[in-house]
Amino acid sequence: MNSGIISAKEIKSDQHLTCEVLVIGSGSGGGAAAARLAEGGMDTLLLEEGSYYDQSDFTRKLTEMTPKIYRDAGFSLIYGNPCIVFQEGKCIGGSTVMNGGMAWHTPERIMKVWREEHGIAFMTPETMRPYFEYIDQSLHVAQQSEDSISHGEKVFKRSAESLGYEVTKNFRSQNNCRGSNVCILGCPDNRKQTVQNTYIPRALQAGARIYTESKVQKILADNRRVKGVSGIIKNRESGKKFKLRVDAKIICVAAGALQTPALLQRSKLANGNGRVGKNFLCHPNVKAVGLYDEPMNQWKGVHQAHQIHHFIEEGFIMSPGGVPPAAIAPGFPQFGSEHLNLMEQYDRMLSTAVMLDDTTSGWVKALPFDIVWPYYQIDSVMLDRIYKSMRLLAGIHLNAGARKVFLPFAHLPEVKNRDELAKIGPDYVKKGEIEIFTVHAMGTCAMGGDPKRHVVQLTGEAWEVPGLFINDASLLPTSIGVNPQVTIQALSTRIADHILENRKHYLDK
Amino acid sequence: MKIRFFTFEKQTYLKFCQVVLPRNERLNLAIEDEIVEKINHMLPNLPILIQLGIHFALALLEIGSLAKYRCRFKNLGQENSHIYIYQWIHSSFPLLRDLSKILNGLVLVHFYDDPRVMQHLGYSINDHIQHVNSLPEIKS
Ligand SMILES: Cc1cc2nc3c(=O)[nH]c(=O)nc-3n(C[C@H](O)[C@H](O)[C@H](O)COP(=O)(O)OP(=O)(O)OC[C@H]3O[C@@H](n4cnc5c(N)ncnc54)[C@H](O)[C@@H]3O)c2cc1C
Ligand code: SF4
Repeated sequence: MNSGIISAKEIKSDQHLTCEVLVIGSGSGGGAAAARLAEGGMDTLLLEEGSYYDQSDFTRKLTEMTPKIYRDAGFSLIYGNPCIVFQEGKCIGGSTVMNGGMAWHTPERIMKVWREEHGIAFMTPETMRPYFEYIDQSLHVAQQSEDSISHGEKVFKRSAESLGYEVTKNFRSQNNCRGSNVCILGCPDNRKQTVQNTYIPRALQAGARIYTESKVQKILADNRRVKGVSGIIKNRESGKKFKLRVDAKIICVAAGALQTPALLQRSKLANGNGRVGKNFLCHPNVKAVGLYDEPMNQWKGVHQAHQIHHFIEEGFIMSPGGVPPAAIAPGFPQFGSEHLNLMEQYDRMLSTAVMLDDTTSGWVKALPFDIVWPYYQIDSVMLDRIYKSMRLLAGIHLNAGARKVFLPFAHLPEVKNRDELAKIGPDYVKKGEIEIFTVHAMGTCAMGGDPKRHVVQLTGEAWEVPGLFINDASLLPTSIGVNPQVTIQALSTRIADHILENRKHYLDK
Repeated sequence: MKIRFFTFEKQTYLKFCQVVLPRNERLNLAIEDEIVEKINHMLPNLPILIQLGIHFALALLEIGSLAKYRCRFKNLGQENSHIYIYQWIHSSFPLLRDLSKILNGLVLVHFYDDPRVMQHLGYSINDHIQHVNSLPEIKS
């Protein structure tokens, strides 16, 4: 246990706490804000629903780790046709603990859209540069060393390049990553730079108090001005619960793009325009696995050393990304001996995926019994992008010498040669029969200059509720087409700076 | 909601597990009981709708078997149970496909996370991590 983090085990009675600024959630947005605010001298309290784990807890076993560090043990669903499997973190560090570490700045074309269509005037490369540099430094963002890249990734890269596609080396939040490829279960060597091993120690060092297993259930307000929160502290092991009450004049909500809108809806706050929970975006992902004659050793290299940004303007990026056998296995429709015969070739598999930019949006609703209901329906534009991107992705595998390529389509589970690529289209692949997953929820409390369309103003403060700030992926008014953690952290840090600059104004009220 | 399996549900899942469990002449681990126990343990962590889906699927497996074979699923012979599950997994009804995918997915996740299975696949992650950690530091 990291000293200074207070867990439910240590709590023996109901708690009533006070602080200057309360941060809800310790992921990308919450961690970045807590460090900045505490280092800026504010009395900062952070509440996190999940528990604290560090490298010594990361056992590399999927069935042991997912119930601990993922919400819903990694089986969350986004409803629609098809349903989309969604994963997010629930622990100190939030989704950064199991993320792939990809660390991209907000693309300039996205900044332009945010300025022109959402009135976010500060979103210029010049204004954001110091923030991106600060995040890059905090997370030690760097490209991978050659020796951490698997043979399979190199084969894939060569093949894509020979087809004329531009392949980019990934920027990752890592320090001397050696490619053990268990990022999704928590980096056992502390080489991935997550919120848990960067901002959290800094926040503690600067005097922040951090409570784990502490779930905020309601944000309290007087005359639409925040005054605190109520919730529970629950010991995971014993099941013992205590009431939690915090008084604070400034609250930064960073519970992630599903939980944040649900919390605001339950608190009946900031939703006069009905936009809380709308504009749900998620960068849907679709997977293809190539089966080769030679060993690919994908698991003996970093999770995702490269991305193909060649088609980014067309709305998708492609990348290889190895995962442990237990994570890849459920994607194959076989069972019994057929399944094992296939999985015995695990070392000759090369797992890849396409990440789509959103051309539509869904919504998130808080239901009774603490249920959060996300809905998202891919539209015809995205469906066409799935067809095109999967033809290209499977084409890269076949060009690289794959014997066959496994596809996530119920009635077209594999292709074996280039002629079959043409089947990846509406005749063989229906919308509801595609396996889609995602790990990027965004947009549900969008920032922007219009109080009728946006939930949050450019300072990060809710249009309708003074003192209530949103500091997580919910802020993003559009999807960004690249991995979002740096964008989230940059925005959250900027919002924290606004709070620090106006600290007196908020606290004196 | 946190309802673990009732005994009859465990029996049904056990039978399902016996049918779908990956095995061949090179690896034949009889770990169905272990797997169903682990799934039962994981159950409360799953989203409520998936938990409900699993209970519903197990009930449906029994009802379908009674209707089709006039016999409880747990008592179905090897060939019939194999055909029955194959039809579920490849059904044209999305609901049956999705439910079987959940049941099967949980079995597969637990099966392939077993150290004996990982070793059989040549996935020696601990050795690999030990190896990379013994290499000199190279700044990326
Ligand atoms: C498997 C995986 C791989 C990914 N790979 C990448 C990648 O390579 N690069 C990248 O940029 N992004 C990646 N992402 C996405 C990225 O990590 C997230 O977009 C980002 O962390 C979201 O930040 P956030 O602050 O919005 O929420 P989170 O980081 O999810 O943090 C939210 C935190 O709030 C807590 N919380 C929720 N409700 C409450 C409550 N009521 N009370 C108290 N606490 C609460 C949660 O437990 C959680 O810890 C990945 C995500 C996953 C899951
Ligand atoms: S590849 Fe391994 S060393 Fe690198 S960040 Fe991921 S888990 Fe850590």
